[in-house]
Amino acid sequence: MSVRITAHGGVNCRATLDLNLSATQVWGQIRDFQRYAQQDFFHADIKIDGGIPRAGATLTLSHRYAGIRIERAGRILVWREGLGYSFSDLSMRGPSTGFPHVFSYRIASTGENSCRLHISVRGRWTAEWTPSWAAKLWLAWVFGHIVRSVDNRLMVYEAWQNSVHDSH
Amino acid sequence: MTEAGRCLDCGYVLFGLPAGRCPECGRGFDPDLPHTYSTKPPFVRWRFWLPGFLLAAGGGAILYIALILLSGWGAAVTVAAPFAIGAAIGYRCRVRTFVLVLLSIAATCIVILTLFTLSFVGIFCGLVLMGVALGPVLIGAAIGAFLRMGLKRSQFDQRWYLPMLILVVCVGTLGLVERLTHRPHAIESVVTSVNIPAPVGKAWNAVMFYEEVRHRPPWLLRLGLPKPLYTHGSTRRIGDIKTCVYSKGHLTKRVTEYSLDHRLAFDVIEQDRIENHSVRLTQGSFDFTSIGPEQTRVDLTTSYEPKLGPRWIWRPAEELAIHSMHRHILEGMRQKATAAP
Repeated sequence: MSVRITAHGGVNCRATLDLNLSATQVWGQIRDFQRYAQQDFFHADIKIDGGIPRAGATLTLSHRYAGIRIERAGRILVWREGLGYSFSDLSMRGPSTGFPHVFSYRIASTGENSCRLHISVRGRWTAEWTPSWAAKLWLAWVFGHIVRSVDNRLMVYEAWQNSVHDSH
Repeated sequence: MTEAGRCLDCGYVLFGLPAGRCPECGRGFDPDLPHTYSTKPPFVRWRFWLPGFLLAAGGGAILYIALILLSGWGAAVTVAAPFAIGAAIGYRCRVRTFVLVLLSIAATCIVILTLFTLSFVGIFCGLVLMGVALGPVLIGAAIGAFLRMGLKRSQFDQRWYLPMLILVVCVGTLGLVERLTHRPHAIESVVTSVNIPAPVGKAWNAVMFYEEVRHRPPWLLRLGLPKPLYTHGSTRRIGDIKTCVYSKGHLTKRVTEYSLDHRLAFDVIEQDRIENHSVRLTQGSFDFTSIGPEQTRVDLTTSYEPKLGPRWIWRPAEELAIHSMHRHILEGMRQKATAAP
């Protein structure tokens, strides 16, 4: 996992999970957009325009900060069946304020029963008054939580798959 | 399909797909027919903690029993075995920290209950053991969890069992070393002194043993010792024998010193099922010192050969129990000595 902030506030968080599941199996899980877009614990609720996730669908993301709910807007930028998706998470006040960022999942097959899941958050850190080390620490904490959470969910799925195979 | 429906066979999320077949396993589904898909996520969380918990509790009880039979009550039983139980939980149970602590406590309770049921420990020793074991169990759980996280992404294909096997071998080796290097613990004595507001003659005449005390014993004695039923024999001259019968077992004492108004000492010549696994009672004595016309100091001494180690862990608990018994006896003597004739 890496978390980087450039001198101009560019944020680039990346993590890679090597999984003992096929790319199709992993896609079969992370295409549950509501669940996997909510791995960020600030995302309390996500509403998709039209209900079905697809490229171009607009999103309303309800964020929860210490009991306060803030509505943000976004859009599913990329939706490629079997490969991954990206969505934006922007402030209602505009695209250049309130940490605008894009969250992405991308799957790369590495074998018949293994694949690599790339998770990334790219955006701009707009709270310029924050020391960069504090911003980095904060992002590392939030992003680390997201990655662990996704990893745990997929591990649960893997255990379930194994139990299904065992019972057969 | 209004929420993320899943394939009934493989759990693939079908939401947003047209009716047809699951892309993963090919099973047919129809978004308009709820019985062709499931909206429940795969739920197998028990697999993340139950096997590890059962391994720790069951294996821990077997490990304890094997170590007690192999090397008696030493550091292997008191410290290493609970550490191994905790490490098994930390290594095999993939749960959050709070649940890990709960599982560690539950496994310790199960193991101690098993030892109690099989008469390897009494109630008091079991409670002390539980208190002592919790520290190593929690430390073991933390180390086991860190080890699991460290090996999680490694390519070491024997990681699911080898660390646990090594741990058991290490604890067993420690037990073997303890057996080979074992020396009996030195005799220890616990003395409790009280001042009785009565002349020395009256205090002397009030001498009594635990089973002769009339008032209710403190909770520690009620909980930890068998109930005294009756006594026979006397302690009026050197060589006299007195046998105290308890609800479980008996104690026989022989008077070795009898100095009127000064000292009554005895040896314990038979100890049957009275805390035999934890101590061997050897001697006891009452010493009387007149410190005024209406004040007598009584020193009650119990000597024993301890069987539980390490001593720095068990000694405070033993002293607590013996002082509690002494105070109970001396209170009985005080009441008798100060009672109206």
